[in-house]
Amino acid sequence: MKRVEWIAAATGISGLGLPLLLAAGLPQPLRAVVAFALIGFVPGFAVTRLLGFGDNVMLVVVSIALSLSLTAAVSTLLLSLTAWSWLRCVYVLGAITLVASAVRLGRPA
Amino acid sequence: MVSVERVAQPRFTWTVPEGILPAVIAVSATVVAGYTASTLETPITSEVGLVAVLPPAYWIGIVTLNVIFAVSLGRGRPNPWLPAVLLGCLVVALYGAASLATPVPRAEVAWRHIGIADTLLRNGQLDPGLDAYFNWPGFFALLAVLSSATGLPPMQLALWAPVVNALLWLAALGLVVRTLTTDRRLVWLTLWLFCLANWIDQDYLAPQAFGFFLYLVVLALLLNFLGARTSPGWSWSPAGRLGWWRERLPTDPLAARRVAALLVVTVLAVVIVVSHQLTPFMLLASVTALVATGRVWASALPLVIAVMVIAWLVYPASTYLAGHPPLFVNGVEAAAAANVSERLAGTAGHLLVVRIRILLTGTIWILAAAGVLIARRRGPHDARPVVLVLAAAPFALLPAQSYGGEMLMRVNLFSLPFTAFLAASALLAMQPVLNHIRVVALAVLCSVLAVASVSSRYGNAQFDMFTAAEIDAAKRLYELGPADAMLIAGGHPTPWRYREYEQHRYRTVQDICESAPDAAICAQLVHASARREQSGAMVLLNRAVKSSLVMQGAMSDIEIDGMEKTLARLPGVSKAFENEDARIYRIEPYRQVG
Repeated sequence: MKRVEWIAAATGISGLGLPLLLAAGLPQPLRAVVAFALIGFVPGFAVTRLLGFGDNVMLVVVSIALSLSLTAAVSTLLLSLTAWSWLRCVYVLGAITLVASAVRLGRPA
Repeated sequence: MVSVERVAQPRFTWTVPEGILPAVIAVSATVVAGYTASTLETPITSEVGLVAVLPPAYWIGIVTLNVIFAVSLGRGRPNPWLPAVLLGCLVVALYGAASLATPVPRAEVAWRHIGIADTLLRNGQLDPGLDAYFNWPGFFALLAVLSSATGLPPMQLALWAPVVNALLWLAALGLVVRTLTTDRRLVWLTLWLFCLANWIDQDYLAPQAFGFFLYLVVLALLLNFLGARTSPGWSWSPAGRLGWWRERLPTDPLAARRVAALLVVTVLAVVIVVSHQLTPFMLLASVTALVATGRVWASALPLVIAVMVIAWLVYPASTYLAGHPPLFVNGVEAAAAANVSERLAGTAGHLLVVRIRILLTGTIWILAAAGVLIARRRGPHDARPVVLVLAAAPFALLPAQSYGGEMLMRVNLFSLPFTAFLAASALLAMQPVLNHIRVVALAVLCSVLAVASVSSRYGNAQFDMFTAAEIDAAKRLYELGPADAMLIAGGHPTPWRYREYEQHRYRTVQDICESAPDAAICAQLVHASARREQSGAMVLLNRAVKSSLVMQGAMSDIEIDGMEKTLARLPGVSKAFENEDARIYRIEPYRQVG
């Protein structure tokens, strides 16, 4: 498996695993680290890699901006639908990550 | 003659890789500065804030960072990671000073924002009727998830928000600036000057800090992937100008990447629109200016953003919009009065801080003007026109809203990335390698700016850094008062509204007594408005409020004490709590008849 695909696979696994870890309950500071990773980086990273932007600095900064934006958008939507819970929001972020990683993996090399 | 051949002895040398030693010194200087800042005790008693009480070791640390930075720029090609380490150290030392000095966030607004996020996560729904914040809930919805999922106390998130926000801003700004120049020294000096000149203090836990980060990322995406090239020719006729504009070509040849960038920009723009009142207008002004001057390829983008803004105002934010027009023309004179002349009042110390703020901003603007005039001309690749456009675009909004007297500061924040770039251009003009004199001059200038930055940023420390006794009193306010009692604080610098945000009516003595001619009438007004409430009211008078009213020239010590004494003597008023920095009064409601 190519290196690029390994990263996509690992990102996809994070999208599945991190929400489950948070749901299961983790001790601090592990919980904070996992939550920051999922809310502030992983979904944006999965989507940004799909879009093929420039270098690593660009990738990291856009990933953070996009992750935080996706979290804000999903959370606002859930509030508008009176269906808000932080865990539900985290599951949606995990799902976005999974889908973006799957699309990346499904692309021809 | 016998010749003695000198045999070279093997030497064991240990060489330190270039950049390691300065980095170690910089980190040590930051640790020293941070440690000395952590030894401060609240309340800060000086009228000029933290600058007067920070120990000499703190300043040695700050000057050391500036000297190392200037020396590293003196080389033709600075080590790529040393300036990044130095910048991180500067952010911690400057933006983290208050966070190290006190375990609670400073500034009342951060406490209020925690309360709004708390309301969302307790109720799980939006109530736009509560106040303006609930009409732009994006950031608070993010904060609610962040505090719940991490399990961290929201106060901890707020405490370190300035450092985190500053780092995010600088990372995004770095992406913007590197599209404007290939000179790495110019990139780093721009970031350094931005860090020093940003006294505006909008980096606390707030929607505008989040919005500003997204704004910079949008600009980075536009300039990197959606940029346009125009022909060097110029025509003053409208037809010729239109032709010039239409002939522009995309800088990124990959159409798929342009579409991808446009998609990300759209998502970020949506979140900006949903999160903050002002930032979407700033974004609209900047993007429109970039498109109109042929610098950005996506010509429909201003229209898309305008539709988003209007759509949000017309529907989700319509509750707030009734009676609160988002923009109305006040005129430049009114804006100047609200933003500058009305702030030039108060004690001598406070006035000094205000003047330092004006001087710091003025210095950057003068250097920026010099940058426009004397910086090396780069022919068709000269970035100054686009930088000028971005520096000037936020000013279009200045006469349209006073924004509670803060519009000029917000405009300054949105211009600062680009004025800092122009200022840095002036300082590095025509010098591939800085000579010793210029390195020394740069170190001195940056050190002076750093002192001015700390003076400006923490100039209100006497009233925006709270003591443990004030925090305790605010906690007791919620415990002692009836569930639906009105809560009255002396003024805005009160660490309250972080809980039960929607369950109480909140007012301040400052607002109630806006038109009161004297302290006795002020007390009567507070008393009357409290007694009219069905469950009465609780009044919290704390040290910070008194300091702010006196420092800003709103009331004198005697007037404040007179108001409190009069209030305490009025019928139905009793003292419910007292400590060294605060007192709480309970005011019973008028008796119901029948």
